[in-house]
Amino acid sequence: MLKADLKLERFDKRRRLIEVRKQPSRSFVKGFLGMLYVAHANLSKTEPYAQNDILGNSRQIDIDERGVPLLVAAPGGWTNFMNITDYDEVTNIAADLIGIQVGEGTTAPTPTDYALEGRIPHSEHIPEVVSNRGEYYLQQVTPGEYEIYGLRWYATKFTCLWPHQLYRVRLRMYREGSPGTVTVGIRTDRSGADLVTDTFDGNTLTTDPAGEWGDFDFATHPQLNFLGEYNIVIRATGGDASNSIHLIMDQDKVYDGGWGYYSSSSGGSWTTHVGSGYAWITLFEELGQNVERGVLYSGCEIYGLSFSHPNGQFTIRRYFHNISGSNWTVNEVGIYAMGTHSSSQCWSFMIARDVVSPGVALADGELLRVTYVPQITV
Amino acid sequence: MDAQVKARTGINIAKPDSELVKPGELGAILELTVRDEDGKVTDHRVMESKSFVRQFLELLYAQMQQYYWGGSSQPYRETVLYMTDKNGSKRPVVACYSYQDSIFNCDGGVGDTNIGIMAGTGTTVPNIDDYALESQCGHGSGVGQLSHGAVTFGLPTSDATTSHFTITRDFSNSSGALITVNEVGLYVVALAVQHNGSAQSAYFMIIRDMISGGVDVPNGQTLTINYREQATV
Repeated sequence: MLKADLKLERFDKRRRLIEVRKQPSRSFVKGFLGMLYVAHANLSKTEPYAQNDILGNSRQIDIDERGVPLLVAAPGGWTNFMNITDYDEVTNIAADLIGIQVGEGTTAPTPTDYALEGRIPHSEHIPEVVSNRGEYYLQQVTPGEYEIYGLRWYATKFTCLWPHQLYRVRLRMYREGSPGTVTVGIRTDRSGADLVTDTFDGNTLTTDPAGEWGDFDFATHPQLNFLGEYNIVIRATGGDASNSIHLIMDQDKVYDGGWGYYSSSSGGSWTTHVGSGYAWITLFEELGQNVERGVLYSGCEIYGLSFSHPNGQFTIRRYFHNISGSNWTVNEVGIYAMGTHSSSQCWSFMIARDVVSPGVALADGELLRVTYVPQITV
Repeated sequence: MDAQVKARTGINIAKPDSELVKPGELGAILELTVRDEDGKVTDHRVMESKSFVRQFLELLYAQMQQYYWGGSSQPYRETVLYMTDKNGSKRPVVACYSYQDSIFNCDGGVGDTNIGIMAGTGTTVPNIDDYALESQCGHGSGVGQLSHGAVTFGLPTSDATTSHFTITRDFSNSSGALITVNEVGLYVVALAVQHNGSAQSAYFMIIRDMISGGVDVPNGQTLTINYREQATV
């Protein structure tokens, strides 16, 4: 049998050990069995096995892309894990999503759990209350513009480098005639649903071709993730060729995080707005606040493989430093492991989840050390 | 139900064995079924597999630590884990070589005596350092040999408390005499670095179990062995 002991140790701000919890780990979940199954059965890319990743998406794994590493060792925090790694086509797997995890969920584990119930995210700061600028593009190497109305929509893709909630998007534009309402939506899939929208009375815009900035303030605030790709989708559906919005653009963009797309089918399909050696993009700014609070995830260590008949064991360990400015209660602990697919994509899967009862109260400034010790006994 | 398990008549345990694998454990259930030439079950046993041996934990460690060889983009380049293969030789094992990895593979074909479930006649109690069956039955119809079928697998499944999948292999006895199987094991492949820096397959035993009293497989009969790897919350 393979078993594991779980230990949680809490240290105060002076790094004095002030609490120790020990309990048997109860909960290797189906995700672990699934990964062992793929490895044992040597499933190739022609016969992959699908199971839920930590976001609940069904993901295929096989042995053709570096096998099924069942990788648990990880660097700290948001370290970009592997250059071949692509998570959900939104964000690469950051290192905090591999290895030991902590959360606040209290529901008893079941074999089909695929993620912690209430994972405490990796975070290094106190929640912000003032918006800051994230991505932006303000240059015009070669000035240009693009006209939208009716079915003619425009999308600007950008890549987020600073995780935050989006509060405002700004676009530079002018009007021709009376285009009516201008709508801006934020989408991960350009042809998919808006995460959030805001509208603007296009009839109040300037007619000066130099344009002016229009602010779109969102009532709800979608989370933008590190290395996530998002689209600002702009339309003036009530307009026509004589009553339109002109977006101020650069025809020769020097922004590495994205470019423009145009659609003549209300976003049903999109065409990349590029030419030979150049690409278009709207002038834009997006602003928001990083309201996340969490704990700082250190690297996840694996060490201490040792045997003494009839026992064998090794250790998996990670530190969590609460510098969030307030308290957390750790009620659940788990292990996320990385699995791979022949497409070079890698996914994170939960292989164990344990509930800690009563929870461990982790005050601001305190440090939590979580240790799993997998063991076999003959 | 395990759709791909080979058991053909009578015996088909669809439910996991929660009484044998306790909450919090990841273990294996060992099921042995002997059938005569007509498919009639003549012996059937279900027991807890007690003996993951050190190679199981070592390979799990290598996987979780990601011992990697041969890539420039990996943080764990050029580290190996020295393990004892089924022949008793120390081998420098990596979890992954370049884009190859077949660690834990036990998908043995007909007659494969390197990977898959194996049967033997040894009677020594398992030790955590065991690296091979004490006396492994060869493949064939000679004295003391069993014909090894292909290894098959049942898909992972779960109920409210347990998840599991099954590994199955048939051993038919056409040796002309009774063979008593006293030990059963599971052999897998992993990659080991060789002299030119590339990697080649090496074979490791990860489970060894004793069958109390042995199970008799008379000439003309077939022994079906299921290992059901199982976790209970």
